[in-house]
Amino acid sequence: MVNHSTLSDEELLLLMHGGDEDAFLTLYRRRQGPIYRFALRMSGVESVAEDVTQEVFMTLIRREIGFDSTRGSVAGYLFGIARNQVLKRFEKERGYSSIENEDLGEDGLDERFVTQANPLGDLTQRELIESVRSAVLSLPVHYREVVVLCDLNEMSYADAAGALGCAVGTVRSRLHRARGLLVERLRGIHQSQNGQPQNGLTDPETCYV
Amino acid sequence: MNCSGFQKNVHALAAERLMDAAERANALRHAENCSSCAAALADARALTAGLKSLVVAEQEIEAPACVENALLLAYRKRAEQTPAVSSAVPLVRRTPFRPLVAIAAGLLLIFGVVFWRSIIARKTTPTKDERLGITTPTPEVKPPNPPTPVEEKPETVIATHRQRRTPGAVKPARPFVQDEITAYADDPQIASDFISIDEDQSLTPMETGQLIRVQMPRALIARFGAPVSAEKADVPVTADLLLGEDGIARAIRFVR
Repeated sequence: MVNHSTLSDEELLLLMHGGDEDAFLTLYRRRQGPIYRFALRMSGVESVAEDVTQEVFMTLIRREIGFDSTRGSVAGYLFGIARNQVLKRFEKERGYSSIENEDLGEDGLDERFVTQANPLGDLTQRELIESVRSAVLSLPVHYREVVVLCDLNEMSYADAAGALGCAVGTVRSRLHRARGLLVERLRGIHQSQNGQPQNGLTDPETCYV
Repeated sequence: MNCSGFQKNVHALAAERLMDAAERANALRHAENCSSCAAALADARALTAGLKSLVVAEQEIEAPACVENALLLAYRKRAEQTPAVSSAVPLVRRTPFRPLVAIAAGLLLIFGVVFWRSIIARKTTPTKDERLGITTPTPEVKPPNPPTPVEEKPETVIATHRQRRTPGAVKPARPFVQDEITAYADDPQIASDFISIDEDQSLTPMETGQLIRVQMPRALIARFGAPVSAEKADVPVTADLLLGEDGIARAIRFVR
């Protein structure tokens, strides 16, 4: 009797395609959480996250796209499918668009955001988590996905690059820019919660470029 | 390190992602001497802490049980419809076409008998092979082992057998149609394209092989969908058989 929990994702995938139901269940239970959380963090909607998760594993069952071990890990492969499913839904429903870069001023910073204060200071833990969640959801999609994959799903740059179909350097630069945007948006959230006046930047030397 | 260099690395520094040790030390030293960069590092660290808090808060979130139930149902339904594939088979390969495996085994037995009883004409026609899409691989050809003992040593032709398959589609047994004979009217020898008889997925992929010319009972070509007239049923037909390194037939084409 094979102990499926000790097998790698690739081995489980092979067994699963050979008709081993336990292999399929083991692989599903191992990978469904990160896939579901990825879809939830990208869309902010539970029903979308459920649909995406189901569709990812249905694609696996139907073998619509072949897995190539030379191109990356099974996890990266699954995230790639999940990402495509999320983007399809964004295209279809256009209900999850985030604040685009057009909202930012010439220097790349939103003029509503102010102060040098720690953007996350004085918040309770719950408020902190909610603030970060809202800020991530407000990012443009191509920045949001790198934050969700690398910072929230704790993927390596290489696996994230495989899932996104881009170079590692692209992931790094997008993540850098995305985190800069997050800092600024969290400042804005903090300011609006504290009711402080929004007068523009107080430290012109602060630079996130 | 200057402010520009520091800003490029501030988030990697805050997130404690892998950095060169010397570069990290330089960055931290710069932050000690530059208030704006120190503030940027503080912001980046606060963000990192916020992101980690979000990860911890959401780590138990999973897909609901109904998703697993639906997928299990779909998996079982699929398993009923599709025969199991050997775990040694690459994921992009398809289910073997079992009836043709039996035909291929029968053909091989018949060809072995025909070898002992027939005179085999051997020619190599590389230009014809190129027209028909058969390519000769580089580097040099290795002399293969003959699959069965023969009275005359066959002339070896090394060819690469390419199976054109549409991903996701099961290739049907290719019909042999009369029109294909006239399609090769310019070539007095060749009467048809190669017809694959290698549907057994457990066979090893072919790197080199042998092309041997055989004669076989005309009635056998009916298995490939070719019409056979009653008056010519006793007349043997000449064919080229493509064998793999393992001696198992991969494809057949008919010769005038």
